[in-house]
Amino acid sequence: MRNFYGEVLSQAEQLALPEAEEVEGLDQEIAVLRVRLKRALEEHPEDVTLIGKGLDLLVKAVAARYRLSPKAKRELAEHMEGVFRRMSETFLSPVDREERNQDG
Amino acid sequence: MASVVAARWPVSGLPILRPYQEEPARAIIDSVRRNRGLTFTVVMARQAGKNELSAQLELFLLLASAYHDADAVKCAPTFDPQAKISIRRLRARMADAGLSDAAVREGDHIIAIGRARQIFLSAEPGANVVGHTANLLLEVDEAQEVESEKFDREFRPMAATTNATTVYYGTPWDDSTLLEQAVQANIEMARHDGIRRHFHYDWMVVAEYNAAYALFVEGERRRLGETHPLFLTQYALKVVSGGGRLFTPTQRAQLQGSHFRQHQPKPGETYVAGLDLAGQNWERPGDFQPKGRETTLQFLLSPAQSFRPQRPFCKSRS
Repeated sequence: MRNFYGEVLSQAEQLALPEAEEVEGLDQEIAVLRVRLKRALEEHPEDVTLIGKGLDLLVKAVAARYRLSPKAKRELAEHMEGVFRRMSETFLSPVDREERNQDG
Repeated sequence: MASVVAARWPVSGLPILRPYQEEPARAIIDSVRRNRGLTFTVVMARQAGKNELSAQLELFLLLASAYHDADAVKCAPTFDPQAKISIRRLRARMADAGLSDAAVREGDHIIAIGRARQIFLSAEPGANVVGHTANLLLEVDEAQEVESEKFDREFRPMAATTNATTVYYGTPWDDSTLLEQAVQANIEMARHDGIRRHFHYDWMVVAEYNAAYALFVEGERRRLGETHPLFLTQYALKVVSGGGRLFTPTQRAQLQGSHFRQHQPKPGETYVAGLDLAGQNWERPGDFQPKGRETTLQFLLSPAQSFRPQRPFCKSRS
């Protein structure tokens, strides 16, 4: 990844790249878009095109944030079940865990 | 498939709860699962991990109820910062567990997984909270700071339709708080039915698991003194009778004399005056900033008469 994009990134951007790789989801991007949209509304309330583009970007980002493919949905459900089972070891007594396993 | 899942969503990185957190957690979950509708009090020393316990409980219940319409409610004395801190903690634990993609936020006070929702509300006197239902769990954070009347009128009924389990968290203050009333009720009920509803872990319990914490609290004990209201309530978890006054009501009653009030000293007698140079008045539990009231002359004794405590003839100045 770093080699592929390295040539087009500035030195400062290359330093920020590892940190960017750690970010998950789109929450921060959506928050930044909201802040920029607010600024656009404050500073250029007459620029309908600019505000429209900002809104369009925000809507797409929010939609993407909540859209999962069927495969991803299945994987997420399996992961939730896995987390629940691991947490059950803390929150349920051995008898309750057995009881729940029998209930399915 | 397992490796694919692990690559997309990391293995659960939740902090491991300590035994003193597990104990109430299991009791609470047992009550929720069996619809027992019990009310619990969880009193822990400052920084012992009440919020961590609460956040993991919430996450566990959201996962367990994701396929059902279920709401849990947590109220706090203020929305900002107290409820917001709880929201941040729950979101952090979701991220730790690789569940950020499963969480959906509704407004600024609801986090949902599937059809289950965790609702965070303010218990401030003016907060409009009616209309919510806590059919899964009702939690009260820092219950010593929540007004009993507000809670009983607007929050308690939220648990009514399903007889939901209720949990009060906090540290003690005086015997008039919502928390202390619930603690006393739980202790009394346990005498009758043997069911443990009250969980109490002072700083010494926490210190067994955290050496740095032990050092810190030892330092606070030296700095403040072990009878200071702050140390007593926040770390030793003792209720301060009379809200931080030097003497308990019993001691004050013992100081009452039986003689008539005197306005002048009697010739030839020696008097002893008691001075409280640092009297403090806190407006509400948890607010440790003195409000400027300084009590000066507290009482005056006449040892020459009989060395029995006498009725004060100089009133304290407020």
